[in-house]
Amino acid sequence: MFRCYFIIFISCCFLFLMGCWDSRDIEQLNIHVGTALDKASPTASSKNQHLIKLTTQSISAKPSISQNEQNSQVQGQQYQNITGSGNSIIEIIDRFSQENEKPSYGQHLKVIIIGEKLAKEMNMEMILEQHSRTYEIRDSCILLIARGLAADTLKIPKGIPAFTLIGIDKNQYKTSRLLPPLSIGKAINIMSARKDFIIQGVQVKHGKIDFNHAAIIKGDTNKLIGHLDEREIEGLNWLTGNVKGGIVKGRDPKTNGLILYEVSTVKSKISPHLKGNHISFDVDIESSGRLNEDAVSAGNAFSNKFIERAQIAATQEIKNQINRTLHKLQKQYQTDVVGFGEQLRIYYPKEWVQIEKNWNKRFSNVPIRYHVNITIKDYMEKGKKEVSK
Amino acid sequence: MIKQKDQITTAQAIVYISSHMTAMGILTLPRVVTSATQTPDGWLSVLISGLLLILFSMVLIKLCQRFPEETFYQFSQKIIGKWFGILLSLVLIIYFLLLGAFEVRGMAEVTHLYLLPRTPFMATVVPFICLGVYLIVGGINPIARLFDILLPPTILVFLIVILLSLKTFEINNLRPILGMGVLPVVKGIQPTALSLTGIESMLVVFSFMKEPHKGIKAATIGISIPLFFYIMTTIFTIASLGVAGVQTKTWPVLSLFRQFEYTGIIFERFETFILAIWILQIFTTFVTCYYIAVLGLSQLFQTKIKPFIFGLAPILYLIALSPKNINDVFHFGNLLGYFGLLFILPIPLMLLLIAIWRGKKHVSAS
Repeated sequence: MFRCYFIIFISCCFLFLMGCWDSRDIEQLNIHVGTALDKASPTASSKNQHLIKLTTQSISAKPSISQNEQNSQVQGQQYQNITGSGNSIIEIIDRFSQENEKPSYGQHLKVIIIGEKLAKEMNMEMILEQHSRTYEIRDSCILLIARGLAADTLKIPKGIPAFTLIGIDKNQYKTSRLLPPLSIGKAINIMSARKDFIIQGVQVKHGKIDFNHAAIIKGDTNKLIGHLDEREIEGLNWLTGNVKGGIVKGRDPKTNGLILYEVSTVKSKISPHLKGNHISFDVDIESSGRLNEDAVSAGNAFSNKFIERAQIAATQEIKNQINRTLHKLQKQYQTDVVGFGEQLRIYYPKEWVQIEKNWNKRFSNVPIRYHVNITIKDYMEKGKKEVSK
Repeated sequence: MIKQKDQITTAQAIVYISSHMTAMGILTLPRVVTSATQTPDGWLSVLISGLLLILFSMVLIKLCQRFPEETFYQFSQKIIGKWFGILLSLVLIIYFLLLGAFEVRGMAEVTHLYLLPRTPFMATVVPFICLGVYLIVGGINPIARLFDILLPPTILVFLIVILLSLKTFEINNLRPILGMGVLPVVKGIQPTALSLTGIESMLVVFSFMKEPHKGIKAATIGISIPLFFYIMTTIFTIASLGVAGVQTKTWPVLSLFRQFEYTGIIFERFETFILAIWILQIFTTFVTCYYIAVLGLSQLFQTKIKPFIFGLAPILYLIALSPKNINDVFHFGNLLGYFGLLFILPIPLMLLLIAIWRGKKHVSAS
């Protein structure tokens, strides 16, 4: 009797433990890894004017190429792009299900690129609304802005463009001309606080990807209003202390020869001052690193005098960069992407409530003093070029 | 049949309290608190309300200590008379039933959103309740032992994953501390009610304690463990999402764990781990509620416990599925929070005063 019940029980278990409602075969999925959003090109009839053109890059799980096939050129592209246009993102993606046998799968989306034109005309929060709401796309997905068409960045012939993009975006430890990666989660949080922010920009030049600018997004409209070039990004990174590596190309004050300073650590501290109604800021930037290269033939790094000259050279260059960046941000764009307002909020929270309303206007006239302090700690394997006579 | 006396050690009581406290509330706590404070000081509110709770729990424990080996259902009748006692007991039973059903629904909602989007509610809710039935048929000892096993992995996973979220931690989001004065912190205390209920289970579970005189110690430590979870969660969530970001998210804590991923180690994404331990903790809360409710019914009617266990299962299912949408679930949760507070402070205090006044005390049989 017991055996009988036991067998029935086990069979019931088989019925219920067979699998998962939500299981999908990986071969059957269209795994999206990158999405580019552009302004839709105008159509002949103004009635069906679409707002967004979406290009999505997907890789599908294929059986790995066997040894003997490897040399043949049948490999083809490792990715495929699908394009659609519509007024909302989910509408476009749903439309893909009518054109492809494999369902879209967004869990592994790594990067979203927004075209310049779309970002200028449409509220960024609205563009990203679907991505921020859905559980399918993770907040850790990286956000970029493209000069020209965003879709072009996903059409690079070599490799998988979406992976190339996120790969470059993580190179911050090698260069000071990249902004720290901005995930869409971070961007959405900044936008819900109505703060100005800046996104790394990318451009396609002769079939190659180039991270050569950054896009400034105005907080109250969440639209793109302007760009910083790569040198201005450098200045911005020095202000925020977001430099993790890279070099500074300075000029020796005495001989005007090149001196290259390699950054290893940077600390930046913004101290706000509020006296009565007068706002001012002090930025203290401390950096240490090493002498990497110099074109001063008489340069003798064994003597501290030369080290000091090198330090002055690097300091001058950094100050120039900061000056240019601040001028552009304050005078041209009137946007505070550095986070001066943030510091004011932290140190003067009660007064900030009043200041916040027309902060951007006031920011353009706020005096900002910056002090750069460079320490060169060593000069690697070589100290001087010629033995003094 | 050999009947072992149903008793739990002090350590088990601690685990019991903290398992019961950690539940639904933790996933929404940062949003709820920050919406009230509007400043990054939410974690201070949580800290203060936790400390207040420890204070309140002393009243509750003092009351229970007057009647060791008796549950609320039994001693309330002695203190305020049979009919009032029964009435109050019924209210407590209903409270636990609703809370249990609410936990099940919350579990189903989150699982549906993040883990099993196309699986019907029934498929997650029914096994959950069935497992609960299976466990509580065994009585308090298996329950306490299961909780013992579940708590250490919970703490471990929680600590690891929350420390991993340091990747998105921004200290500026937490500053300034007390920038707008103390008032926002005070405003934030009240909405934490739902997350901090749980100690009211001691009204019943206390009677199983082997060493009733250690009740206050058990309650204090038992509250401190989840309180630590709550404060850590609130701090990390606000630091990562910012005051504005936290308020826009449905489940801010899960959003926090979706902000980052680590490549190069075996796992890239960690919210699944948090969900796994969280579902375990929901299960513990659900089981406690269920057990306390059926125990109450069996003690009130002085009959066997099993018919009630099986009889309540479908009722739980129906209550769990009754909220129409997610907002109803949240409202339901808020109401339960206040309902729970009622049994944490006013009722025990009132009963304790009446008991002292009327000189009611447990008279040991020997």
